[in-house]
Order: sequence, then C-alpha cells, then structure tokens
Amino acid sequence: MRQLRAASACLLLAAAICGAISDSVPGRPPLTLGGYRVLAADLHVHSFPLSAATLAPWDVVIEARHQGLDVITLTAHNMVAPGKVARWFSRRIGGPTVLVGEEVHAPRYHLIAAGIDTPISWRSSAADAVRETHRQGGVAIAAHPTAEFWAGWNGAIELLDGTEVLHPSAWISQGAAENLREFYHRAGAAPIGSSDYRGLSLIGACRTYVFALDNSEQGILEAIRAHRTLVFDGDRVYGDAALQALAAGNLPERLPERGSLSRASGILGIAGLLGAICCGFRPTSA
Amino acid sequence: MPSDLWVMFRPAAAYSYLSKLPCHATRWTVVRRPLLMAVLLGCAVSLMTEGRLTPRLALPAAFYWSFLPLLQVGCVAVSYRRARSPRSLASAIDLFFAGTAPWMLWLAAYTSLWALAAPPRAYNWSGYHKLWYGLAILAGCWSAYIDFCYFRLVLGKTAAGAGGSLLFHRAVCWGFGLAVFVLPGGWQTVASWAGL
Repeated sequence: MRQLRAASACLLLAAAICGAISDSVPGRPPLTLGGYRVLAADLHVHSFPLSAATLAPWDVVIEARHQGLDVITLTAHNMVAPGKVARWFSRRIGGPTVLVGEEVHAPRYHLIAAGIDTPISWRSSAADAVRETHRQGGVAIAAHPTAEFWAGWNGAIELLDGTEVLHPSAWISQGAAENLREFYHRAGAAPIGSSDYRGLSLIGACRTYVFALDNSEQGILEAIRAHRTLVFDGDRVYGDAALQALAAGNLPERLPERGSLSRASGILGIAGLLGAICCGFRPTSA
Repeated sequence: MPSDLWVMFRPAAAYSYLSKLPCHATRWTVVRRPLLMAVLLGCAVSLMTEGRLTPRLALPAAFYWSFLPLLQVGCVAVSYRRARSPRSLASAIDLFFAGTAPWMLWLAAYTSLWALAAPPRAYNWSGYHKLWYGLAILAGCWSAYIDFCYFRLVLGKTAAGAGGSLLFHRAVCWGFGLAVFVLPGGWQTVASWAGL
C-alpha cells in the first residue's frame, strides 16, 4: 500500500513538472490589419467566488494572458466588483485589457453589459438594462440567446450592440447553435464569440477578434459598437465581409492543438488524482 | 484494501473497526486529509481548465478552495462537541475525511472529461445531464450513508442524533458552499421563482 501511495504522489509530481514546463505565455507580436489593431477577446468570463466559476479574478487574468487573449470582460452575475479587481490586477502586471462588466442574470434574458461601472438590476426589462448599459458608456451583448430567451428580448433586440453567435452551448446541441445563428441574423448586431468561462475548458475557447483603433477600453468598446468584430466557429466566419477579407490567412480559425507535454501532464495528473483519492493515508492508529 | 476505499465500499464495517483502534493522533493527523482534499481540489481546477496540472493554477486554487474542507472541519468539530466519543478531535476529523471518496471520485471523473477531451467534445459530453446529475445523486446518497455511519459509529451517536448531525452538516456545508459559489445568480433564480 505504501508503494501505491508513493506512486500516486510521483504521478502528481510528474504531472506538475510536465505542466510547469509546458506552461508559457505565447510570444505574439501585436497584429495590425488595414490600420486596425486586431485583438483576441473573450467578453463573457466568470470568476470565483459568487459567479459559478473556479478561478479567482487575478488567476483569470493570468490565464487569459497564457491563452493569448488581449481583452477579457469579467461578467459576474449581477455584480461588477470582480471585474474591478481583475482590471486593477491586470493593470499592475501589464496583462490583457479588462473591461469591467456584468452578466445581468434575469429570468427572461441574460445580458452582457461590458464597460460599465455600477451594477444593473436584474429586475429591469431587457430594453431598460440595455439603455442603462449605454448610459454608463458600455456595450450590450445578448448572452447565449437561445430560443428560451427570445421572448425576453422583444423590444430590445434592435438596441443590442452585439450578440453571442458562438458560445459553448452551440457545441452541446445543434439546436442551440441554430438558435444563436438565427438570433444573430435577426439582431443585425456585432457577432460575438464568448466562452462563458467558468474554469471548465480553456478561456477563449470561443473568442471574438475585435478590430480596434487601439487596445484601450474605449477603443475596444467603439469597435464593438461599430460592429468591427469577427468570429470563427470552425466552419463559418461571422462578421463584415471587408474584415473577413483583411483577416484571410492572418487569424487562426481553430484552437491550436495541445502539445505532447501538456497532454502527458493531463494523463499523469488524472492518474495521480485517482491514486491519491483511493489510497489516501493509512489509518492513524494502524 | 486502503482504508478510504474500505470506508467507501463498507462504511459500517470499516468505521466500526477503525473507531476501535487505539488512537495515536498528532497535529499532522488533523491537517493531513483536509490538506489533501484542498490540494486535490486545486489539481482538479488546474486540470479542468487547462488539461494539465500546473502549479501556477493548482496552488492558488487549492488555497481559496480550502474553504470547503475547512467548512467540513468546523461542522465535524461542532458535532464532536455534542458527542461522547472516546477519540480525540484530531482523529475524529481524520476519520471523517476518510469517507469523502465518492464525491472525490465523481470530481475525478468530471475532471477527466475536461482534461482529456478537446473543448467542443468536452462541452458536448458535459451536456449528458442525466449521466452527470445521476452520478452526482449517487455520490451524494452514498456519501450521506457513509457520513451517517461515521456519526453513528465513530462519534457514538444514536440513529436520530446521527441523522441530525448529518442534516446539520449538509445544511451548513451545502448552504454556505452554494452561497459562496453562486449567490447572486442563485438569489435571482430563487427570488424570481418565489415572486419576491
């Protein structure tokens, strides 16, 4: 039994070593196309605590940098404080641009309010929540607008700046994917790809390319308002045809494959985890 | 068989035997299993998000997710004070954490999904709600039986007392744990449903 415990510890240690070696910030020079700075963004990100996610705001910022993101919006449910913490932290470490945001988590709609300063009540109607977002200088993005939320967007759809046309729910069901595309075509707003990150899978697994004049918060918000965004879902590209022509061959349309060391770390880590759970410690009194 | 697996498969027999062993608890005894749980939670967080175990993610996550084992230590300490157990508190805490395998194995299975599959496939498989919720209910029910055996056999409570301790533990740990995890969104859901 002692050997099994030692083996579990060794597996976890080997996984950590492989993980640490393969863990690096991608060196990527800023990309400029057609006079625009092209920024990789994930505009729907949750953090721990209080927002159904596993990583604290500062770890989310570091994780975003490791996944090659230039912009994130911390969108805690019905609050903005985590976004302010993340922005403060990111400015100190020279991390990605952080837009303070909120996911207005209402019964009939979910709204990403990005670039705001004070929380917006979930008791507001969708139209009022969008107007309040605009009043605070932010942009309003429909979060995962699948059919169950469509009724909630009545009277507000034409006010939206963006809508999530790519979201992990599209990978769960074909119906959800079709719903997102239909809503996007009806709204005529900027296409947005967001991972709704909660610590499961990669931050930026679904992402938006923002064509901004610069990487400031105002520059990014202005680009979204002007619909200068592109989203790749593997098969399709969403966004302005001129931007698509600019981007052709210059932007990765799929997530990169994981390296062998990273895969090894995952397999060793799972094996070590199972071993540690099953073997634990010997009884104190044995 | 390792004591944790024995407790998982035959909790009554295992706790009955383990509770009768002479106790040599030290300070390390009280921290080792809660610490292991925190470390494994940190490892799971890292594996789920990046598919690899990196100290950059695992260590801070282990630190802030340690609120879960700490909550459980607090609940066991309260139940221990109301019990007439001949064992030391350190040993009682250690034996309680020997019974966490069902939940940890569920977590390991869920972690494997996210760590080993590419994001589109992982999300697709996570959509089998009946499977994941079914396994979680199974783990929850079996874990409740294990903890009931613990309160009954290790802390020497009556059946009613063990049931009360179990309810207290679940109310505090699940209530506080869920609040820390999802309070604002959860409150909106509850308030909307209740018409508040």
